[in-house]
Amino acid sequence: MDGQVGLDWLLWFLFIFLLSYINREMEIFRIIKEIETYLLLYGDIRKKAINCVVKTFKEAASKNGNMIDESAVEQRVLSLVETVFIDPESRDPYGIINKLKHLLITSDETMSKEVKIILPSLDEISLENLKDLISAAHELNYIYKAVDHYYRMGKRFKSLWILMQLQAQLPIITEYVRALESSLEAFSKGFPIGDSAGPLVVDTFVKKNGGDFTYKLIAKKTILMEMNYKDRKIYVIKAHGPSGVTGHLDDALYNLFSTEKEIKMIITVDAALKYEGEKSGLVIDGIGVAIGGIGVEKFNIEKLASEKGLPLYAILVKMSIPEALSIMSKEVTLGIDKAVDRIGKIIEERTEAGDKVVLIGVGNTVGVYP
Amino acid sequence: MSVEKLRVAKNRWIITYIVFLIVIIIIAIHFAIISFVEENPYASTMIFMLILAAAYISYNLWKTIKVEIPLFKTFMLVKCSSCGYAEIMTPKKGDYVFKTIGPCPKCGGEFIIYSIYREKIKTRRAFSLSILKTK
Repeated sequence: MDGQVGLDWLLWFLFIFLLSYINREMEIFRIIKEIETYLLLYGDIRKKAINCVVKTFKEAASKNGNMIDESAVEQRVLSLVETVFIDPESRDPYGIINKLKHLLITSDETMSKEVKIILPSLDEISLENLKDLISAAHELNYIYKAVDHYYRMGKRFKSLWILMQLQAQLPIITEYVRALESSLEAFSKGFPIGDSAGPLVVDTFVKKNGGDFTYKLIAKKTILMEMNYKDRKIYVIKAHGPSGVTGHLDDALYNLFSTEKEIKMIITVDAALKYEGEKSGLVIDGIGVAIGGIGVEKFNIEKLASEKGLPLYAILVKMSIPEALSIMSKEVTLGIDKAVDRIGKIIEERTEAGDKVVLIGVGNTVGVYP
Repeated sequence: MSVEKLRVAKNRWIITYIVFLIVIIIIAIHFAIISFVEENPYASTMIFMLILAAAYISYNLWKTIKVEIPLFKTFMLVKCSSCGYAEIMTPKKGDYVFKTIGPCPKCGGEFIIYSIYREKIKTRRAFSLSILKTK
């Protein structure tokens, strides 16, 4: 009788142990299936991006009266998409900004040359928009490969922890993938994106206050417009649109300061990521330089301003990640006028009549002239 | 995600759930008849289990129908620089902000694009029609 009870208990414990093991295995299986679904979608979007680039090449070629070999273009695009940007060595950080800038310029010029090899007679606007499209495809390819790498690692080592970490990040990664996917439409059609808010705000400021769009190139792909606002002289700097470029704003500022010594203030206007609870198109003030990206331009502008003792003010137009990269949303468009009014108020309240102010529109100027 | 993929997946799941629900209802009716005719006690247990399954599938169906697929349309605001007359139009590829697209239809002044933006369109109704077109 006692022996029977002991066996029952043993079987019961074995059953519990087996159940916990099966539960863990089922959890791994469920997570793997979920990651596979995401990967399938990322793969589709990556393919769509590459097809979009090839299609845009084809359209640009037919517009210029050229014929291109589609498979050769696809191969070339695939090789561009696979190209990696190697960060400079940072164990000795001295001079890293200059090294980064050099690498960024090299990367940009190489991309231009590669596109020009396929389509030598391509106009400047189409060239820059194509480069942006290739960059989006490059980013999507990178995300797909990185997620696939961790998925395979987790599966190979049957590591629940690697898989769970990846699964936890997938909704956030998906947001970014969605944003990149919607940027394809904007860049292929040449329409402004959420990130174009900065250039659009400064252009609207010029237009609204009676300035004309007479400009001169002050640095590579960067323009300078001059206007008067309530007895102040305003120097407006932005990337040269309507092509999808961000310009060289730091170089433009250095070139401007080489001729203009009496500048009293620098205002930067840029798109900024909103918190979940904030509304898109919200306009807020900031102190400092509002520039995203790798940090080269931000560093150089901060360096110049601190050397000259100039106050740095910023105006930020808030938006989500998908909004920043897709065609400008209505909410962000409504924020543009508010940001323009805010610039006026800052200039009136923080400068005196006769002062000179630099206004910089930061961001990709795709679809915004000039 | 990719809107087209999401729409196809949503439609497929809705059809799957509806088919499951119909099958469960048919089986439940079958057991109800057995329960009344033969007075089989197991039949009522089966009916109870099937009602639970139907409730679960209905809940999933409702959740799937509620998944909103964002549909966007792009517009541009075009304004006359002289008289202020404004129109909302659909932009063409290559249009950009501050481009002059021609003379103003009212006064002949410069008709300039002031903004190009996209707007979310409600999708529920659009979905109920598109489900019929699913391959």
